[in-house]
Amino acid sequence: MRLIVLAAAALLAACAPDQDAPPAATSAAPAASSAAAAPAVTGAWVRQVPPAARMTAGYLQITNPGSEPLVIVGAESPLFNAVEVHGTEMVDGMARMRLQDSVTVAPGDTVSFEPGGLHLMLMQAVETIPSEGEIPLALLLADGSRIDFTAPVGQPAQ
Amino acid sequence: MPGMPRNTFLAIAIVLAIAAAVAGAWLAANLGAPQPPEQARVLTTPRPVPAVPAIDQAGQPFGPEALRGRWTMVFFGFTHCPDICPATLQVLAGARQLLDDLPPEEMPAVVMISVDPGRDTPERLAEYVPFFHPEFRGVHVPAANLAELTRVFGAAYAYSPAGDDSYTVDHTASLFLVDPQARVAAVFPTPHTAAGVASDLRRIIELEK
Repeated sequence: MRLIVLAAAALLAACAPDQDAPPAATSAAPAASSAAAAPAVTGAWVRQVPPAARMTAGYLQITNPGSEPLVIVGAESPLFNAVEVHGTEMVDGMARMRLQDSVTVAPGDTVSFEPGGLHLMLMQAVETIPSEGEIPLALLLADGSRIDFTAPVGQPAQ
Repeated sequence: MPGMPRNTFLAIAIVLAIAAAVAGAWLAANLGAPQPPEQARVLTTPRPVPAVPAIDQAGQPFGPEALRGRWTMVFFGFTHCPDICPATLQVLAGARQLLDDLPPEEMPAVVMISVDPGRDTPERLAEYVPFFHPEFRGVHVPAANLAELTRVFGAAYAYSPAGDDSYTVDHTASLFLVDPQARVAAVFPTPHTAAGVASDLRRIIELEK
């Protein structure tokens, strides 16, 4: 039985390389300024939440191919009046969610925003929180530039 | 076996004997004795859930009487929680699906007890929790009684300001299993996966048979 479970787990892992893989492809449109080494947002998705929810979370990976640190100081979306960068930390089994003033991606590094860790907290929906489709988002950088991208609404793969 | 050298015959016989022994040992280990859970911690002394004033999303009393007779997975969360709470409810929905073959009397119920009774009315819980699975229930415990309940589970919560006029709730993210005698029987520490939770639930239920 254990072997079967292991095999099934391996199979599942093979099907979903990332435990919380995005429900669909995402498109990133990095700022046009730095053509050669533009930071790339991949695998973005926004959690599908009950209609009663007042907020949801966005997840993504961001890669910094440049030679300078990339500093994220905020985020925004035309569909939400407030978007904040938050991090969930586990301290002695307690989940603590805190606003992050900034998130730095070192040159050559990739930082993952994922469940139980960093996330974009999407609050105060202009209308209602979309239960499907794509949500336009932007990461705001310390140098004043922005990275626009869209993230599909969905549930993570189990 | 004509034509087969005696040594080859012996070698084959030995290999077959070893294979049979290994298979026998594996069967004995896996079919005979139930396995202990891999991540969950089973309490040596289960703790009875106290009777505090609490109601579920449908207004039904929630307490030892309601818990008796079946297994219940308990999660402490709140609806103004964009990350860990929906993620955990999603994991529990996945685990529930993986346990679909269990007979109804063994299928654990799932409840989220709100650690934010000020904002999470029963009505609000009714709009939120069943989204993840129609049988999942939200439970509202008055603020004055919440600490007494969480203490028995070994859970904690704390309010922390967030933004200008809002707050967030720090809370224990472990899952708790209440046994059919209405006692806290096991703790599932983070991180949680649907497969891990389902497998440990199966093992604990099997151990208690």
